[in-house]
Amino acid sequence: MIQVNNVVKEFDGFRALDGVNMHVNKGAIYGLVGPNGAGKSTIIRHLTGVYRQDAGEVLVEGKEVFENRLVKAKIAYIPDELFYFLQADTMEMMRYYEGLYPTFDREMFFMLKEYFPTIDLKRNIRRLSKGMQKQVAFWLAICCKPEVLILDEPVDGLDPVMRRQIWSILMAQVAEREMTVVVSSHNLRELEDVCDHVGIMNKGKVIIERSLSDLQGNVSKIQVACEGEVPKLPEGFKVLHASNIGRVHTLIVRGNPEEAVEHMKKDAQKTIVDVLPLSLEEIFIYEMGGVDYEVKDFLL
Amino acid sequence: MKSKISFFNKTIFWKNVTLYWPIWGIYTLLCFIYQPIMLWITNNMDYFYVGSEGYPDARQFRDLVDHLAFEPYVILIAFAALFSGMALYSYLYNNKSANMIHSMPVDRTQLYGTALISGWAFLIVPLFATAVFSTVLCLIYTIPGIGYVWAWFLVVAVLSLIAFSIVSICALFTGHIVVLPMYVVAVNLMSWVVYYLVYIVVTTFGYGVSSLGDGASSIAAMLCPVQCFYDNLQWGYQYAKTGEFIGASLEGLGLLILYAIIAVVFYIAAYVIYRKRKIEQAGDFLTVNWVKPIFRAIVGCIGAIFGAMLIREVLLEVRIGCGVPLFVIIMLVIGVICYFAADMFINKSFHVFKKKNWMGCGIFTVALLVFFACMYGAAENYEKYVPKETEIEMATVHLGYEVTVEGEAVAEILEIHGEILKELDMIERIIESGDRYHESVRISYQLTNGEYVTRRYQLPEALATIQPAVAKIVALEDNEENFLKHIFCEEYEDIKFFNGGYFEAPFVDEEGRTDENGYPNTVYDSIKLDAVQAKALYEAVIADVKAGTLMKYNVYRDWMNAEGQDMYYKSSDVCLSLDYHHPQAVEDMGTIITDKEGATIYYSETEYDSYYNGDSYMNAFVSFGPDCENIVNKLIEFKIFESVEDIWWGEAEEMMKIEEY
Repeated sequence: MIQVNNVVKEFDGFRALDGVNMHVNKGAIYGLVGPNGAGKSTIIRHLTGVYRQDAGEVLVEGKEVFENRLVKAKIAYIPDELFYFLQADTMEMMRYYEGLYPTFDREMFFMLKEYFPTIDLKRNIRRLSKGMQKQVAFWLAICCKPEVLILDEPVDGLDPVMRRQIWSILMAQVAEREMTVVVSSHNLRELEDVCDHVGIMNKGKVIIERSLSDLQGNVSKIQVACEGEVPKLPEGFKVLHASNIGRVHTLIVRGNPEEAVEHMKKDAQKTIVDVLPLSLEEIFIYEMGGVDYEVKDFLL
Repeated sequence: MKSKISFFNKTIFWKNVTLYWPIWGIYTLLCFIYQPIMLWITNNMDYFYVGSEGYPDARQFRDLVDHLAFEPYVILIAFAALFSGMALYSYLYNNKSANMIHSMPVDRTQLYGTALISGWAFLIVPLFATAVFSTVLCLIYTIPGIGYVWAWFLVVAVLSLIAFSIVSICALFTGHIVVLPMYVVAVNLMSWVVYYLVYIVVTTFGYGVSSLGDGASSIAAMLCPVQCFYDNLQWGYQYAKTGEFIGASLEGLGLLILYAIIAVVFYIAAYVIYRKRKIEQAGDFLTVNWVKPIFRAIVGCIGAIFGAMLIREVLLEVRIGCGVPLFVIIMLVIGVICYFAADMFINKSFHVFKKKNWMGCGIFTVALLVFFACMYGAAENYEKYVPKETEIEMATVHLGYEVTVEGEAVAEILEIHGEILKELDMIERIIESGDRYHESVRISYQLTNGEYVTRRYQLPEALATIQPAVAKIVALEDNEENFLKHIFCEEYEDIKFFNGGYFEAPFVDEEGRTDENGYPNTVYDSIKLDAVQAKALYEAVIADVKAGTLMKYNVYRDWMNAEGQDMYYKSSDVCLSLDYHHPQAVEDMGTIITDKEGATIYYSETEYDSYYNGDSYMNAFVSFGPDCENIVNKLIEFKIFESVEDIWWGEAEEMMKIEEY
């Protein structure tokens, strides 16, 4: 659905995107994660046709996005910083979106009103709270019935109930219409619940792009309780991080965890070896550690 | 998106209309105030004044054309275009709005097209409504000239397109809403800034040069759009021989067409810039990269020359002096400072002293030196330039008053000018040394091509070699004919119709000539003169000029006459003011009255307001003293006073006593 090929973007000599490659399948929920300044918002602004890339291509359904009205009509975007017209209320914004998006569904707009009971349709949106403004943004974006929904830090300012509600609406849209969602967030615990694919960005590049299950299956935390040295891992395994508290050693390794456990048990007697699941947040931290992103032990 | 038209989006258009309606509303109201509302008031007031006898069609017609004047609308449209542009392009000046709008299913062609159509609608619809209401009023009050209303509408509609084109191109050159009005003002004033840059260098370093000529200032005025239209776009009123208003012709149409063509170029250029614009430049001072070095150079150059000139004036004031080498050094230092200051604005950072920028600054410095050298060379050429005799229509020299000559007499002024130029280096040296005893002389030529060449010199009394030239000027001024032309006008002998005038003087009070402290006891009075008295006094003035008694009261000149005698100016508080009409005077151009062929026959230093229905009344203002026997006797004959003792003659009286003594 979305293809980003070798995209480069510079701002006054600073290379914000340095040959980004990214691929999102139709109907996928793609989580874009990365440290501050990695280029997430920049690539999102390319995906929405706001920025023109210096090199490379940004395609949706095989067509360039920039200055392509037909392609952009399929994309709805909720930026990290929302914009509403001066004095505009929700109804006026709805009419604006309705005029611009050919797929905008007015009936759906009124149908979804029950999900946003606190929003006064006639009140100036700029006078609503940040969370309520975000709700309006979701409401309008969903009613556009986009094929691609792009969210930049989407749930900032939303209360937990509203977050869950919005995600459930989005999941329903994905299930019903095979809507593709690209979501950039620092809230990895939340992404873990909703994403099926993850791309990790660092220094203007997508360094890892995989399905979440692959990612979680490939990196694992092994706790070893033993006397003396830690038993050896089989060849081909990479230890991303190692620490110990007394006799308990914690290893973060890349490779099949079952194979590692079996090998370690054979290597040393009287050793207790246990495999613990890794959260997306932990995967992010250890993967970033591998690309010179400073990770402190206290995070563990 | 739903629109099939690729350059217009209805939704965005209606958003513009509903969001920015206050601008539209205020503009419409202002348009209405000047035309339909004022027209309605004028018609009602005139009905009130003329009563049931009716309101003459010609007068109604002229009142209508008065209200169709373009001047107020030129200003109004310029402001309305600016505010409309600031509103309609505001989405480009904020990251949040720029990102949101450009992520939606619209392309830049649609956004730009819709902004243009919105801007045109904002500007033209109120003018159209104004024209409709004025037409309705014309029909109600049966005012002839509805065609003029619609001609007016077409002109102001084109003006609106031109004004919005300037705002549009400026809007796309910047990413900051506050900078937009600055750019619009800069576009309007740039020609004058360049003019004054050249002017101050040429007049400072070209001794005696006091102007670049009317051609240069006319070009500067033409390139300033608001001023150009304000000055040139107007109705030329036409009157029948009976004085009745019969219609008006539109003047300045050629300029309007020329600017309309430029506006099309601006619209296309603005579109190209928008297509290439980087949205991330929202908030930037300047969004077009190739313009940045030009901007830095322009700011540096303007700052360098005006700043150096200011410091030069200060140095001269404190008698330190400022020669060309010192001026160049000051100019370069200020230029570099301004260059980096401009860079700070562009980059929104104080960290601009980078290696790359120093290279740019070096190139700028060389360019500034070349620019200055060119202007300095031009100043030298201006200084030495004297037009050829065959190129001169009229020549004027002004020491005590303005003497204008034509034909063969021009050679005499050219000779005087040549003598001054020979001594120019010496004159400059004496004046720069701080000499305070000098006289100002102005020499100007009206060329056959309509241009003017003017030079002003300070002639030091200490310089003996300049005395022959001065003596020639004094001889010209002592000529009775020249002086009478100065008091009255060209062909003063033909004056036939007098309107009257005033005799103004401090009359001695009944309590005596002076009080106990020796101060005069006087009452200043202004006595009306009738036409017969004015004519008689005109003849008395001529007689006193011929008797050689009047000039010293009217010519301010601390110099000597042709015979080398001192001719000090004598101040007198007693004067005549005579109103007359010259039979040849048909055209009034503010301060100049011309004859049918366009030749100047009268020039007034103040705006002349006695013009009505083709008549131009002129005024002769003559100071005189007690020794002007012809005038004094005539006034006594008219019983305006009984003897010279009745009047306090001021300094003139004291001078008389000294001379008698």
